[in-house]
Amino acid sequence: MPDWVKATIGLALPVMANVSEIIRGAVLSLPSGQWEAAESLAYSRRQTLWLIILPQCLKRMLPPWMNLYAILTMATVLASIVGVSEVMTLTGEALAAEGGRPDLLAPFYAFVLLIFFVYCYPIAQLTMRLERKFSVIN
Amino acid sequence: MSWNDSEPMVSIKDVYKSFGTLEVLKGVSLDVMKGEVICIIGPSGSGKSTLIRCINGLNDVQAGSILVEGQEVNDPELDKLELRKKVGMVFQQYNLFPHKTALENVMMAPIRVLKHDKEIAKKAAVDLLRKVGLEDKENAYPGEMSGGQQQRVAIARSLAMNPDVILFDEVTAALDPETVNEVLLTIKRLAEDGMTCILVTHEMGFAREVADHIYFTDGGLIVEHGNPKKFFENAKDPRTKEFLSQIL
Repeated sequence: MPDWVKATIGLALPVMANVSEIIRGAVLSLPSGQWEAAESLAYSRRQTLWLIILPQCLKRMLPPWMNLYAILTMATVLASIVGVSEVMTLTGEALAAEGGRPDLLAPFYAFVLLIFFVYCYPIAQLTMRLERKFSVIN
Repeated sequence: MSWNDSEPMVSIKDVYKSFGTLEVLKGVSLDVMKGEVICIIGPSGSGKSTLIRCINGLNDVQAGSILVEGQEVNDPELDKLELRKKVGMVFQQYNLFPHKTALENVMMAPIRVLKHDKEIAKKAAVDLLRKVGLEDKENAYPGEMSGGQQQRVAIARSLAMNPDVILFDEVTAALDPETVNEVLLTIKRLAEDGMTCILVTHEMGFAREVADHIYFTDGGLIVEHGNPKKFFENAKDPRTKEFLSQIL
């Protein structure tokens, strides 16, 4: 099994558990009246879920989803355990190649910080835009 | 299923219902003929809402029989979706779908559930919104409307399914006094058009005016029933008398 597959599975398992809890929480947070109204209009259970419940949940799920995604991004560093060359390992190697000069430590890791920031910031922006868009509705 | 107009449209016999150890209905029976308007009144916690929620299968019952147009509701084999196409319901908390506009709320079920043509369903929905006096609110979201307006949309939404009977579960209880009347007027018009209505209500004046028959529940039993005149002027049961003396 290639290392990146191991890393993907390892990171995906807890994320899956977290995402399902977020969805479950959002579904449970809707007033039961929404289910009852849909039921009394003869929607099937599947229709109720897809047409009425989940669209309303989307707005509630968005912030925790994006949080989780940011946490996952940070957690990619753990992939080094199974031998994947992720950004922190590469930084360490680059530092070593430079002879481990202490004055390079700060700029190198600042660069890593910048990479993470450039990756996460647009996601945060997108989240805020989506939240604004959904909040128009109710 | 053989059922005709001369038999009750809704026939409830000896229905028992409990939530855990709490007995809510202890042998309730009532009949509703086509075109009748029935009001169920009584103190809080007497089982009124539970009773009408049993009619469209939102609550199941432990014992007894509920026939809707000859079809047994207390039957595990029951096709609830078919039942609910015939029985509409309006709730105290409106329960409109907040992510859909008024028009979408009304036309969605006919399109998705009854598989009606989209254009025809839309036209019908526009007509229904006009009927409840909200032709200018087609594109408003529930959050942008007052309670009374939301409740009228909920009534239109229920009517869009073209039900044979509509259940009203304390539909004015969450409204402020000024908007109660606009909702009651809408229901009154429905009743005059011959819609079979079963209402749980605290609006005594309204019950007296529109009901063909009034049932009074207390402690999970129907303790008194009769036409409005007889009920309000000549109540026999002491509990009914006490209740009426407190509110009239």
